[in-house]
Amino acid sequence: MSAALSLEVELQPEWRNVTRASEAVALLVLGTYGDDDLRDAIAMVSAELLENAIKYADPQKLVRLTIHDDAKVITVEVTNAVVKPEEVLRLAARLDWLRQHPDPAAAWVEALSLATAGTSTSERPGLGILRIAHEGGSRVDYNVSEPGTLTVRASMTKTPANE
Amino acid sequence: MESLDAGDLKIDIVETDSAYRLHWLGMSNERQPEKTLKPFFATVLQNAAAGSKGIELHFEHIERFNSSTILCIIQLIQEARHKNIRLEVVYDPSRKWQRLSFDALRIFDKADGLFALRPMGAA
Repeated sequence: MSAALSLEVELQPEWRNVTRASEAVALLVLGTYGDDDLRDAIAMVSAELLENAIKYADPQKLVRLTIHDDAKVITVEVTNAVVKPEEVLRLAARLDWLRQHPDPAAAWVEALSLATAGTSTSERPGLGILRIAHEGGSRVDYNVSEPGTLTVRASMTKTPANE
Repeated sequence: MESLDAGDLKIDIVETDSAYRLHWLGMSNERQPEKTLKPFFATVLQNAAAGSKGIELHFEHIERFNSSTILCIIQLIQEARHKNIRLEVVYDPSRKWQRLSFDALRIFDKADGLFALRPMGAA
């Protein structure tokens, strides 16, 4: 019997909802797949995506968290209303920086070095997105589906343990 | 020196002859964890320097932390090095997220011997 998680929830863009939602996700993933490492990975990915969304989202509009599972890939998506268009450009720049590296692990190590090298905040790559790619084993991309609405997506390939 | 109890995060301090052991418990999920952690770390560094002791960060039992917390941890590693204080990070390699998160900290392992990364159970 193979189980598949499907979840869609809309949240008030309040910081405390990051932990509430990621804890709920952790329980659902464990109940669905019975895999502690997958639970930790999807809960972390959900939390980091929600943190980014809530930091930069329109505080008057709901943030949507979606998780779905097809035969090969589990995808976590967070959608929010963007207040400042430059946030989308910043995200694009971070993903470009990530893809300049041979793999997410190499990007993660370089980001840690830059974080302590006296580099200014604006020049540092954001750790959240890199962590999703490295620790979450996910491909990260995004789209602006309608004016002012950003969806960031993390897709992880399933392993034999959780298929 | 008092333990830290802030929201979902607790850091218990155990003083030994050679080090202050900081046991991280719960979750570090604040939007700006540096507001709590920075002054706490400053006190730990001050006491460690005054008592010629090292610092051990024990993460074996923490549930999770956010990426802003990672930044605080690596800043502590750097500050300890500048003050000539030995710092050791202990983690649980049987948990995949800890293995992936902490293995990367090996970049701070230099010839000065002031930083060490120790998987739980290793001598």
